[in-house]
Formats: sequence, C-alpha cells, structure tokens
Amino acid sequence: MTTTLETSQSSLNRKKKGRFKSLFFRLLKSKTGFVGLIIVLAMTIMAILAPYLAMYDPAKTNIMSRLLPPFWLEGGTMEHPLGTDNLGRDVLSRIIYGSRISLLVGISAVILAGIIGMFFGLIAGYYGKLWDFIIMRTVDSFLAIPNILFMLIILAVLGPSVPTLILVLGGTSWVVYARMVRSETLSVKERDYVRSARAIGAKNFRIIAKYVLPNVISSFIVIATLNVASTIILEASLSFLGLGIQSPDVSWGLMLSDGREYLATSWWVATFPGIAITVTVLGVIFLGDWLRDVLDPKIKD
Amino acid sequence: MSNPILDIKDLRVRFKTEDGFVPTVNGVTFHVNEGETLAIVGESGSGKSVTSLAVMGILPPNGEVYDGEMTFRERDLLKISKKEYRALRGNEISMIFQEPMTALNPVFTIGYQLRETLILHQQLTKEAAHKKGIEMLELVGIPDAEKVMSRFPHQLSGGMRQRVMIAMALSCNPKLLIADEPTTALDVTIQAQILTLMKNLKEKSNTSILIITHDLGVVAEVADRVIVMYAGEVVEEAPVFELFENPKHPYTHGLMASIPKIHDVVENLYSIEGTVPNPTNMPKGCKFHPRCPLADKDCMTIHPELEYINSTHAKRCIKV
Amino acid sequence: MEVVKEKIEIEEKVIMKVRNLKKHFEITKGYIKKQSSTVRAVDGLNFDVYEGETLGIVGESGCGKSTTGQLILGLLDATEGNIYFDSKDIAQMSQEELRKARRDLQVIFQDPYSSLNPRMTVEEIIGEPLVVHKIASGEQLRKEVLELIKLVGLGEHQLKRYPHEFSGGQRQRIGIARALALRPKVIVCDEAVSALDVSIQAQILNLLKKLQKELDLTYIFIAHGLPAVRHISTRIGVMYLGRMVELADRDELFVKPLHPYTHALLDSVPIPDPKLRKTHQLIEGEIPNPSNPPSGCHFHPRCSFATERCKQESPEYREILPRHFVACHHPLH
Repeated sequence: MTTTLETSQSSLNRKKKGRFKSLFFRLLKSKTGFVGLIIVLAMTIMAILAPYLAMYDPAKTNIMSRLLPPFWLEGGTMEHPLGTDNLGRDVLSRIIYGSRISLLVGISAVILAGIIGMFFGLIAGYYGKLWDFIIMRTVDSFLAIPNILFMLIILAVLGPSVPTLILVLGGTSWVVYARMVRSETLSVKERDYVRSARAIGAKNFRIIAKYVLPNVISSFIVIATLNVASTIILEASLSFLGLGIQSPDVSWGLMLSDGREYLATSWWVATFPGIAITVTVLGVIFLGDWLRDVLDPKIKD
Repeated sequence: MSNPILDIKDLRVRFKTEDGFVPTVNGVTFHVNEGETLAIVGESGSGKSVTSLAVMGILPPNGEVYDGEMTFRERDLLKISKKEYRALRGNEISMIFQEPMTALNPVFTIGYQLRETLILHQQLTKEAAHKKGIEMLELVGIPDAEKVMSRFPHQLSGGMRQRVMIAMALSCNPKLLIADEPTTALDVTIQAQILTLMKNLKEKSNTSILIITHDLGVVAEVADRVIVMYAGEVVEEAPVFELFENPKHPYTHGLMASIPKIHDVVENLYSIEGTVPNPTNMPKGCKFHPRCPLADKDCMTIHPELEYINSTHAKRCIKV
Repeated sequence: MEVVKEKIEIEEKVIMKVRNLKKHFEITKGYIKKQSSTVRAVDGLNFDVYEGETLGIVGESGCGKSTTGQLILGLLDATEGNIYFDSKDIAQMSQEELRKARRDLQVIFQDPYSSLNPRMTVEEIIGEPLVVHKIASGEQLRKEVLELIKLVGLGEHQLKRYPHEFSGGQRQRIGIARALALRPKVIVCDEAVSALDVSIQAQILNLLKKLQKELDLTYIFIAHGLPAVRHISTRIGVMYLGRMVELADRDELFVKPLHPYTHALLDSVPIPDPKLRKTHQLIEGEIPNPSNPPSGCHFHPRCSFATERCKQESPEYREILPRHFVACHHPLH
C-alpha cells in the first residue's frame, strides 16, 4: 500500500514550482509557522533598529521618575508607555535594547555550539570506533554535569561578559548537536548512496562534505532553531542569577532579575521583559516546528 | 454462477494533497464470488492496493471514496457506521499484508494477539481462545504451536510471521480474505510454501480470496479470475486460463511478454516503453496510449469503456 | 523476438579469480555477560569470472550473495581469502590502491530510491566519478556526462534535475550512467532490477544487455529473482548459507540441476502460466539462521536425499562435469 501512496506523493513533488516559492507557499499555509516568522522578523528588526526605535537611552537613570506604572494605570504617562524601573529607566526602551543582547547571545551561542557539535558528531558517526568512543564519552560526561552549576562556575572564574557568556552557553550545549548529528550520520552512512560514493573511489572528506553533511543538515537546522529559544531562556536565567549580562548592558534576563524585588509593588518592571522572552521563544519554536515539517519530508526524498 | 459476496461498482478514490485532490482509483468495477480467488494485478501506481484498502475501510486519513458502490453480502459498505465496519473487519473480512512485521504488534506475544482477536470477535473465553489459537497455528503448518504462542513477532522468521498473520486472519472464519502482496517479501522457497498453504486453506474453508499482486507467476498459481489494473482503472478482466491464453488488452499483453521466462530464453525482452503516468497528469483518451504499440489518433481522444467480449472476458480498448 | 539457441560463446579469459573467500561477522550480545557468536556470511567461495560474461549469483536471504558482492567491490574487508582482479588481490589492497582499482570495478545498486544522493543534480551524480579521479573537468566533463546520459536513454534536459523528480526506472538508468562513467571492466549488479516494476525491469535488463555488447562489460549479476538471472546470465552460481552449492552454464543449470537445493529452488518459482500450475515439490522448513548453520552439508535438514554422511561431512565443491561445479554428496541425475 505504501508504495502506491508514495509514488503518487513523490510524483506530486515532481511537479515543481521553484524550491523557494513552494517553501513560501507552504509557510503561508501553516498559520503557526507564519506567526513564528513574523515574530522572529519583528524581533530581529527591533534589535537592528534599536537606536531609532527607543525613545530613551536604556541606561539613563532618572530618580525623579522611579517606578512609574504603564500608561494605562493611574500615574502612568505616554512618555513611558510601559513604565519605568527602580532607577527610573524606561522599560520599553530597555526591552528594545535588551533584544539586541538576548538575540545576539541566543543566536551566537547556538551557532558556536552547532559548529562544534556538527564537527564532532560527523567525526564520531562517520569514522566510528575509537573516535566515536572518545567523543561520545566526552559528550556523556558533559551531560552528567549539572548544566547551570557548571556555567556558573566558569562565569565566576572568567568573569561575566557577553563573549564569555556566548562561549559558556555554546561550549556546554554542543553536546546536543553532537549526539544528534552522530546518530543521523550513522543512518545516512548506511544508505546506498554513500556506498555508491565509496564505490566510485571518493575520498572520506568528499563523502562527508557532499553526501553526509547535506543530508543531516535539515534536522540540524530544526534542532538549532529550537535551541535558540532555550538559549535565550538560559541567558535569562544566568542574568537572573547575577552572572550573566552586567549593567550598563541590558538583556531581558537582567531586567527580570532587576524587577524581582519589585514584583509585589511594581509588577511591570519584571513582567514586560518576561512577556518579551515568552513571545520571542514562542515565535522561534513555531518557526522551528514549521521548519521541521517542511524540511523533514525532503530528507526522505 | 454463484453469488458475488463482494460487489464493487464504479469505485472512485482520491487523495487530498497540497495541490488539491489526486484521483488514484477511477471507476473500478468488479465482484468476488463465493469461494473464488480473484487476483488484482498491476504495477505500482495502478491503484490496486488503494482499492483493497477502500474495501477494508482503512484508507489513510487523506484518502476518500468519493463515488461508487461497495456491497458486501448485501450490506452497503459506504453506508454502515464505523462501529459496524469494525465488527466486519477481522470477522467477516480480514486482511494479510506484505510485511507481517508491520501488522503484528511487536510488544505482545503471538498468543496474546491471537487470543485478543478471538475474544473480541468470537466472544470466546480466554482458555477457549488459547486452544483455538493453537489449533489455528497448527492449521497453517506451524510446528511447535504451543511454544510459538509465547513468542514475540521478532523471534520468528519472515515466513513464520506470514503464517501467523494468515492464522490470525482466518481465526474468525472470514467470508473474504484480502491478501495484499502476501508473498512479495518472502524468499522463493518460502513463497511456494505460503501459496500452497493458501490454496489448501481455501479448499478447506471455502473462503473467498482477493489477492493483490504484481507477480503474474503468483496469479497463475492461485487465481480463478483476474483483473488487470492500469492507472486506476480496470483494463482487462478474465478467468485465469483465458487471460493467459488470450490476453486482449495491449497492456496485459506487454506485461506478459516482459517477464523473463524461466523455460524459454529470448535475446531481448519485450518491453513496454515509457513509465506509468503520473496521477496528477493523466493522458487524455486511453490512459495507456502513450506507451501502447497499437495506439492511433482515436486512442488519444476516446476514453474506452470496459466492454465484455463474452460473458466473462472484458477489455478496455478500442483497437483489439 | 529471436530465440537464442544453445550457442554460448566460451570465453576462457579469466578476469577475476575468487579463492577461499570468507567473511565472518562477530556479533556480541549483552554488556555484563558478553556472548559472542560468529555469522559466517561468506564461508569459503571459489570461482572464476570470465571476461565478457555475465555471472549470475542467486540465493535466498542469508545466503551471502550481497556480502560477496561487497567483498568483490572492496566495500567490506575479507576475513580470509583472495580476490584476484587484473593480477592484483582486492582483498589485500590498501585504501588508496582500492580507490584506484575502482576505476575498473563498478556497481549498480538495488534500490534506485536510496542509491542516489538526493542533494545532487543528475549532472553532478553522473559526472562525479570523473571528477573524483580527475579525468575530466569543465567542457570535457559536460560532454562526457551528456554522452553517458544518452547512452542510458535519458535526455540532456534532465541533467539539471534532482533524483526525486524521476521514476524508479529512470533513477536506475542514472545509477547505470554513473557506474559507466569510468569505463569499468567489471560491473557488479547488486539486485539491480529487483525493486522495479515488471515492465520497467524488462527495459533495464535490455539496456544492460545492450551496454554489455557495446562496451565489452563483464557483469556479476546478484539477484534473488531467478527469471531475471536466467535471462541475463551466461553462467549461474547458486549460494546457500554462505557457500556456493552449484555453478554451471545457464542452460545446463536450469535443465540439469545437480544439487537438490538448486532443483527445489527452480521448482519453487511460480510460472506465469496457469496450465503449468502444479503442486510444488516443496522444500520443508525454514532457511536456518546463518549464525547457527546445520552441521555437515548446510542443506541437509531440508533435503529429501540427505544421509548420515550429509549430517557430518561438509561436501567438497568440485567440478563433476565439465564447467559444472557442485557441492553435494549425492548429486542428482
């Protein structure tokens, strides 16, 4: 039964309307995917255009207007639409600027982790034997260490800064990619097309670059997108614990941490950056989910 | 002539895809008589498997029967409720698949799965079901049936699993057994065993069999009557002896000529040129005309009807 | 359709010699209490391949025919034995020597859906062997690829497409073009037509025959489908549980099989003619597990001629008639 269904399915794919055009059509059909894309685009634009969008310098304190509520509450003004924090800094401007570091850290850490994980995953999966043993046992030991504790120690030693934060986040989460890429590589390695590459006398490097890598990359992209979300949250947690982003830099996580003491009296200081994190993470997850749906069937092809 | 127990008229099935509806079965008409073995032959994309799934009422979620009639023992299969259908399946109609491993549940023992079927459909007690289960396994030629009852599917060989599937399918004395490529995944010597088993069982139980296959050798071996499908249509229908002796449709002809013969070696095989048409882009007129050696202008425009040249032999071709 | 009479040209030039070839796989189960068993996938093969012939190798699952193909291609390392090809031993070659030897030794795979890289265009797929061995590039490469794709019956306009845009038969043609790119002497066809529809199978078999004549190819045709093997082969070897049980010229094997297994195997093939419908002389029982084969002659538990000797003594593989090898204590006829 499957053969018939598959042939009719794959023959449909044969009727091709440019790869990207059809990708775009599929995106429009998936509502969540579309919403995800809009959110991610909006956040990216916000981060890039922050100096033009924000009304205030995010670090500028103003004791006179401490803890002003959002505009719709009594005492709030349109000058600070989302209110101000305990030092009188404009919450909206800080959220806009905060997106820069949150996204920068989230995306860079994922790229770093992805490259490391991809490299070791490919080596472990393709060459196997001793390489596999060494790499996978290293991965296991990384997984055995409590993540946050490990990061906190390193940050405490090296001192918190944006580059160290990226290094630490990337340096601990590569194991996820290594495991995934390794298992995908193991299955791709057994396909006949890889065997056919060996049969024509292709060298290992060529096989990895032209046969294995392109066929594991779709699942990799999907996992990576989803991980952007969890990295943003991790960065927030570290900043919340005081070892992430330091003032005068601003990130959403740091804002959460700052607002914690005022939750009872001035809820808006912590709530709005919290919402920003939630919305962004949701957007990224939607996008990742949709990517999985779109890219995965292509692997079968 | 005996009564048909399954009567399909003008069955049409389509699949919903991103690009709209794709018709895969386009007006298929046939019947299965009591105690007869009907074979549906065709290549991939002919719609033969989809037809069998439609009869079982287990089309994938994106597939639907959108026209036609299906009558099984005076019941309209398109009108009965899901619950009635479920009661029918496994009881009066049962099915065996190409790869028994996918049809057996890997986490339960053979015995458990056999008993379940019997308890569910025949309201037997657990003990009675166990006894009947062993009987069934013995019937399909499994040695050490008692032991096999406590095995898991992966502990059995492909041939044994297919025997278990058959035992399960026959355990409720179905009136109709649908076998979808039952021996395709098996080795030749095991295939011969299973085909012989199916023939023997049919003689004993008078069950009607609808066998779906691409292998004309299997057809010649077990079928009483044959329908040949191409691109979602029946192109020829005939009793098995007549079909092999006197095939009418050029497709049937080509199919037979393109099998390498084991006793008669030719230098070059006859081959049907081209490929099976894509269901989204069917040729106009006769669907076979782009590959047909006899095709002329009429074939490109006229879509031939299935016409009977005698009471049992029908063909869908205007040329022969 | 012309019928080929008995006439099979006897070419005695040996192009490949397989001697005492063995491949054993170690399988370990369990972590705490390790239990290891050896699967003798290929257990002592001896045969020659003649230049320009098609040697068919048939057998059921677990007989080791695919492993044999991979050993010949150097895709697996042999446990023991030699494969002499052009006076060099494939089984002893270094990775680098093997890479060079592959210019003369190519393969066509079974499943056209999994044997082509989905991320490469047809042009890249067919031209890649030439690039890898630095034989052609640029305009020259394009020309060669064009010639190859026409050779297998496809057109220039199909070069820029990806494999998933083709049907099974077309994909198999692409796979053949890739195998031909290096102008090899020997091609191993590993179940090359088994996954195809009947009408497409005939097209590919005809194509393979045509190419053999035009390019002086030698085929090693591995398959489980006896009719196809009979159609294309000049000689046929039958394997059972890692051993060759019989090897003979095609017609001789079909008309006068000497091994009871060969006989039963031929008899099991359903014949597409209801008038010849018969009760099969069934072989009882299952194919034994290759990790635990029966003693003596592996076939003895299923053989109706088996004697005490068959249970204990493994029969010698010998040429009991000219060009007809068999491993049986009690050959038929």
